[in-house]
Amino acid sequence: MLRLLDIEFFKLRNTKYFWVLMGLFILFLFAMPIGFRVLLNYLTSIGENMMGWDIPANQMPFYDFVDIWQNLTWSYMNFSILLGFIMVISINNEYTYGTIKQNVIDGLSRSELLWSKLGFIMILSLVISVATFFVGLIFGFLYSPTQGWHYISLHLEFLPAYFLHLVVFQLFCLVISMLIKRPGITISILVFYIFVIEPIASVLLFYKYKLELLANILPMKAISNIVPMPWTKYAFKETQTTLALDDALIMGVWAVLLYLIARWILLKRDLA
Amino acid sequence: MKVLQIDKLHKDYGKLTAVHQLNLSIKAGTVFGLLGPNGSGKSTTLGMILGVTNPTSGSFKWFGERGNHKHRKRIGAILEKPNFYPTFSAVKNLQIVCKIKEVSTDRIDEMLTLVGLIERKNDSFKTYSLGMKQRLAIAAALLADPEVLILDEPTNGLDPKGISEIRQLIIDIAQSGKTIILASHLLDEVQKVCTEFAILQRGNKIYQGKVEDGFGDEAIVEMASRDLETLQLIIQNHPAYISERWLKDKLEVKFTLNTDMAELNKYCAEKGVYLTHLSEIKKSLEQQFMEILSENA
Repeated sequence: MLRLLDIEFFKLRNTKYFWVLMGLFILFLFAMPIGFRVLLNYLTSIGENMMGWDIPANQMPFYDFVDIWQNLTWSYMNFSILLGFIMVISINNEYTYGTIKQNVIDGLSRSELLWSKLGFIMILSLVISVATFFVGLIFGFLYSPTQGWHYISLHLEFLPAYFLHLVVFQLFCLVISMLIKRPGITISILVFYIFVIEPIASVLLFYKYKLELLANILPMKAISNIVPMPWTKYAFKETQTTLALDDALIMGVWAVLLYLIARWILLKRDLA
Repeated sequence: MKVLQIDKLHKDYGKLTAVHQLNLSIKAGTVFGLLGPNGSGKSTTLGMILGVTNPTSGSFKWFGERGNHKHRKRIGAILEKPNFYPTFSAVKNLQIVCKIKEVSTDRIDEMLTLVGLIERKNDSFKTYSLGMKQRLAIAAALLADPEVLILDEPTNGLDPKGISEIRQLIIDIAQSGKTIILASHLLDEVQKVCTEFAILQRGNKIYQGKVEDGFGDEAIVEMASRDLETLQLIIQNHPAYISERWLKDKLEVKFTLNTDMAELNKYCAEKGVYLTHLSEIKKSLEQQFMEILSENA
């Protein structure tokens, strides 16, 4: 497995797009919590209150231990698309330049090829989840009124949830790239699907046809539902602040399904 | 020892049959030519034995075992066009090959020197000319000091200088005792570098033999003496004689295959005819290649 990871990381670390997209991702990793603080301070300075309540905006417990994990991971999920792009470009280049074929000719089995990609996805997701933990710790120490391991450890489960989200999302991008093979088209289709098709389908299914279950198993929704949207609780509305078993289950089914599709494509389809 | 054994290998693309029940065996040390016009199934066959194309049916064995990716590490192969990471330098591309084949990177410079790319080794692949790309592919194929080398149309798209360089390289490699499988639609190429060959047409193997034998079953000999008429007379009584025809100032005589020239010379002398010219000529392979293809059309 180490050999496979070494091969995949070698391929990626020698490309520009990998560092540009990773650089952007890391930038957002820090810019998001800093920027949010700046925004809250600005809102307070112009006399805004927290979501219409009589509390200054910068008192919003965004960075509080307990809350911070769900807040951070949910916010970061919006940047997963950058990692998805890395996967799309990498897979599509391998097909376009015939290097996937040459790798196999040179002696990589198709299974090894798949696992070099999957292994890399997992390691990258793990590194990002751990980095998220440290970012959370830093901002929590700076701004959280509650301190101490007890508060820190509450709801840490959002980190493994975020890890799973990253893995399954990248796996989704991997499968789409394998199906479409062409980089420009894949990225357009992916962006169009994520930001236009699925939101519309989701709204239609949910509100028009009242098919809540179906709306929840659409891939993007399923992959993101694992960390529920936290903001509504600051308006004192009912908000899910724990992991839900059924969300995890749906995502697990997607993970298995996507893995099987990727495996089927790679093993059954001619690479030539 | 048999390096490669192919049994009833078959590939259908929908209704189209690309390779039909192909049997082939290749011994160690052979330079084997896979000859056929474009679309005859050469690349599909190579794709199957190299694991990138899934056979519809049939099987193949590398080094006496059912073929798998471990065997491919002992094989150096390029299919159709050189496949490399375009933004990577030659060295980085070869490093990936080393990682995949699990060999050390020690030979990279040596191989790049061999193919004449050492001075461009840190330039990215996309800046290379077609000939340089082709040569890098050969360097990659040779990198792990493989037992078998597979080359698919290695001179395709090259200029005459490039073609002769690559051919010389193949001949040099062959002399080091490696088994080489060369697919080509150019008969001339196969004739120049191969020892054995098979002809594919529309997925069928229609001929297999040694290059030195030509394709025919007869030996063609040019003969002359002071008195051509007497020569013609005695030669018609030779046991291996098939037919003859007059050329301008000599006879072109067909004998059965493997007729010994020394014996033929002695035979004429014993009959009192001294030869002024004796030369065994190979019928143009090109001509025979066309004949075989048209017979099977």
